[in-house]
Amino acid sequence: MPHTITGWLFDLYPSPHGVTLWFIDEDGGKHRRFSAFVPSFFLHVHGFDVQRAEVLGARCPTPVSLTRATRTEIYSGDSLEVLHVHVHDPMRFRDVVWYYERFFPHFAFCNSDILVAQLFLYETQLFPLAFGDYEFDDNGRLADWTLRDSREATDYKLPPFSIMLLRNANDFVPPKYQKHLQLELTYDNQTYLLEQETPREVLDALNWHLHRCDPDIILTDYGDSVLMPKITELARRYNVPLLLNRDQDASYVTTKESSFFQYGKIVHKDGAFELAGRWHVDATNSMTVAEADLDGLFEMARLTQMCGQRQGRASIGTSMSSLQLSWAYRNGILIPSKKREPEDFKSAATLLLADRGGLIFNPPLGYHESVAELDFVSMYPTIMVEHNVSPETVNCRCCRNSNVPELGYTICEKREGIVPATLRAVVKKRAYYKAMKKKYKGKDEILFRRYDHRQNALKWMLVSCFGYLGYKNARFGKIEAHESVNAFSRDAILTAKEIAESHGFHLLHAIIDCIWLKKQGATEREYEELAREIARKAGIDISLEGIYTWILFPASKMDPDITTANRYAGWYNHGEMKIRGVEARRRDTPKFIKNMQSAMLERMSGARTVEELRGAVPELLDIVRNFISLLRSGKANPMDLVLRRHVAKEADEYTNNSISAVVSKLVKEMGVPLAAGESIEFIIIDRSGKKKPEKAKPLALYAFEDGYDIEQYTEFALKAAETLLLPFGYDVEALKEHLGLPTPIHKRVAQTGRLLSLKRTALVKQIPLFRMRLHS
Amino acid sequence: MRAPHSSHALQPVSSQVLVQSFVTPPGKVYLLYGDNLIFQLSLRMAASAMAQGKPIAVVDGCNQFNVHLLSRFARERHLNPEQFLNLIFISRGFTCYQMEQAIASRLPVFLEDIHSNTAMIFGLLDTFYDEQAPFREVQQILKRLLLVLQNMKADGISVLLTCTQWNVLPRERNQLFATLRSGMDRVYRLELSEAHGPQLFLESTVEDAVPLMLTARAGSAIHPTQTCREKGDDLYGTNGSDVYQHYRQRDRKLVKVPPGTAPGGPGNLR
Repeated sequence: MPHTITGWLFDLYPSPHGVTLWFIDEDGGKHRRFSAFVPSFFLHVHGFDVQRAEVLGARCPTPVSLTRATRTEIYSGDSLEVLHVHVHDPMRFRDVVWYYERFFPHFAFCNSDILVAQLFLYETQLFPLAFGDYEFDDNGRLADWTLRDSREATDYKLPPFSIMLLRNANDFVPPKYQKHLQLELTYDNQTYLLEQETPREVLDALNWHLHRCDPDIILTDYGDSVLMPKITELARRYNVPLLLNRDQDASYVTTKESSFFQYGKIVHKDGAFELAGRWHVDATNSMTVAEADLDGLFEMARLTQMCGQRQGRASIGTSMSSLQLSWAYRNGILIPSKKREPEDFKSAATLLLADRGGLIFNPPLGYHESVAELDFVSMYPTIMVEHNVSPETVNCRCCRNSNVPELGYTICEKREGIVPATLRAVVKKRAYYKAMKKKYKGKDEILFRRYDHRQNALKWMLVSCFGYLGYKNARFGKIEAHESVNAFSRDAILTAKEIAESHGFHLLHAIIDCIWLKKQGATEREYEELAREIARKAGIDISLEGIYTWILFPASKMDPDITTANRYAGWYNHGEMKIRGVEARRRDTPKFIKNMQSAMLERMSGARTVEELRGAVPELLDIVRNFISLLRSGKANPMDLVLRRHVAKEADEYTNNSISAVVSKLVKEMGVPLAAGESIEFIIIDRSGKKKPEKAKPLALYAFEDGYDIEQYTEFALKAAETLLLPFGYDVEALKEHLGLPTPIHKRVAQTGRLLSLKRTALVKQIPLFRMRLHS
Repeated sequence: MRAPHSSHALQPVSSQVLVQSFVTPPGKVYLLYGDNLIFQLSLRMAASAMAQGKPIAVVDGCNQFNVHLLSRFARERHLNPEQFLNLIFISRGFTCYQMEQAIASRLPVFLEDIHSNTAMIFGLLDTFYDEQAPFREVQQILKRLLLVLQNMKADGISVLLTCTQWNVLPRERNQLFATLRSGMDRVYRLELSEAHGPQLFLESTVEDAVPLMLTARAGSAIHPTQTCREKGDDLYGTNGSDVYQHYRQRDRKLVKVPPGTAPGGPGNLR
């Protein structure tokens, strides 16, 4: 019987004749329905190949049909004749693409590597958690719908979700390192520990809770990597059908773990374990949830039109890509299966000018009083939106205007680019959420958090959008667009500098989109007026972040005579501390060291001038002495000394005997192989390896009798103290002397090592450039 | 890392041999591989040509193009660095797909635009070793590129390819280096040893080369401009259709299809 459901589209996945859809109605009822859908891709082929594609289609094991279509090529804007390949079994969409890939080169394929569920959403313009009236025919097939919602909406209703938390009860170390797991479930404000003795009983108990709670979302810790694979493996072994999937006809969707390079660092990503009819969200495998909680995930899924579970595990780049793909799909633009657009040929002189990042003015070393910080608001996304910077608009074929400062690149004036078109809504939404967050701060904690989470989720998209322009795999990216954004940013910060200096302000420090200014006696109002003038002339909003009572720009660890950008600690006159890049803020610092530096900063917070800070030095030294005494007494809590690092390679691949190598090997001996990019937690027990060859113990193997390397942790503490005290004349050596500590021998060893390494590089250095003589 | 061909039987040659033979007559494809110094040597060759006012185009797949070396070269010879740097043009590729597009579609047209007949390709295979690109696909791309290089050679363009890596994991990708070698007129290897310093060896010339990749079926060589389209051919199914083919290509010459070119038949599916 035809009927209507008023509610939210919750989950979707391909099925043999279309797409299975799950809806949640306003009373929390769950409904499984279907929609007919024929996914398709395009082949850009000519002449004989058109006929060949048709013949191949007739012989394809999966039913396909081919039609002719016209679509737009993004860079030229030209209309192209293409073959439209319709796949009549959505479950075999990828198989058909692979089948054709055997016969045609990669550049003939467009729209061929998009997930069926996403194609359905792009095609219908529906989105996850879209609220509306959905009409169905006699067979339960989606016939029509009227949305009472939009992706651009900022104040939207969400379904009455039922959420279950599932985790390992013992969270001392990740479950990967534990032989026995004990499941803990939380729902309806109650926590249940599954204490049954046999695996079969545990699985039955899990099923009972799943039946009772019927969760829409199962939120786990380490669900992707450990919990779900182990639970399903046990269920298979003991032949217990699980109720994890709400759709019992569907199977789980799993993907493999992977390691890849990101900004020069190897990172590891767990495989996915997705359910049908429910969302499984692994908080430890989801950047969105980690940064912005479920509110952020809901916001992102709605905006990017990616299914909730997929969005939960997606990188920012994938999310951004989905926004762009949806826009391209809507506008009939071909989406190439592989990014091919290379850099345009440019002269070496142009390369020298163009291949640069944002502008940085290094700050003067030490403590400074009454310094104001002004930040450009979403500088890079605003540049892209306001200046129409996009891969297809930079150096377009149709315009000649040299709009990009310094570089003289042209920017199209006739059409809006895909990047600004998709970013505009994100910039607008985030500005709204930030305003709402501010409005509810201190008034309504729930709304404050909700808007904060939403703006935070969007923030990461805006932070990454610029880098993504130059990313090698970005479907719509181009180096020249990336270079243009940098050129605009340099221009903006120079404009800000010139305006500030013309008003008598002294530029202390600048880094890409922030400037630190100083002027004797300048008031907040003066800085705000200055910000308005800069915003007017630079075309980008800039706001006063605050005025520091004092700010420290510490010395570089490599060279004590210079500072490094983006490393500072300061105390605002409105009573807040801001720290960037120093030990107290860094993730690779043990908690003990963080506590010591935080205690020092806390003591410094009361100072109004640099002289008052100087006066506090004896007390700061006392703090250092107390912490170091505790360390050296051997009574520090070892859990506060845990270090976290990412392993760069697998245990067998290490040829040296570094701490990472030692720990990886110990963990492997436990029967837990670590993949490159995975993180390890350990405590250093003897860095030199002379007394204890294992050097460090992974947390999972650590026993209190192992102790810790007192000298090494003392060194860490002294370096953290030096960061704050060097401007007052206390470097590590002076601190040791003051505290009566011995100078360790390994300092001399380090110097000898450096000499050896210099000798090794000498061979290469001795060959003068262009004067190389080759034997004849 | 061991070279695939032992240098025991080879005598070192002067870099002048490489420079001279590369410059005249035009129309050749050389491979220079070995120690990282190959990039300095290549840039030295480029700089020597530029000092005579010849423009050069470089496609860089390994980010080894060093502008500062060239500007230093210009300063040392009292040349105007800016004018000098305006004689060399670069396009960087970060994936094998970009490299293919840059070399196959952009480079020949660009060389025509700047009236140059000299090109250098740095680290062609570096992007081909990326495991994100399926091996089957990179093999096909390399074969297509070798045909493009032969076309350029036939048009009187000299191309120097430089490559450092020839022993990579997974091992199956080492075949790519062998494939590349087979399409070269000459292969030079640069070795750096503590005893002798940098030494250059001429490993093979066109007489030694086995044109494996330019063979459609055993025994029947294909003309470089001919498209392989028959069942069982290496390039079967590739018709050069490219959605970007027309993009920014000005006055591209149309080449008449040689008589006897096999028409594309239906696929061999069963």
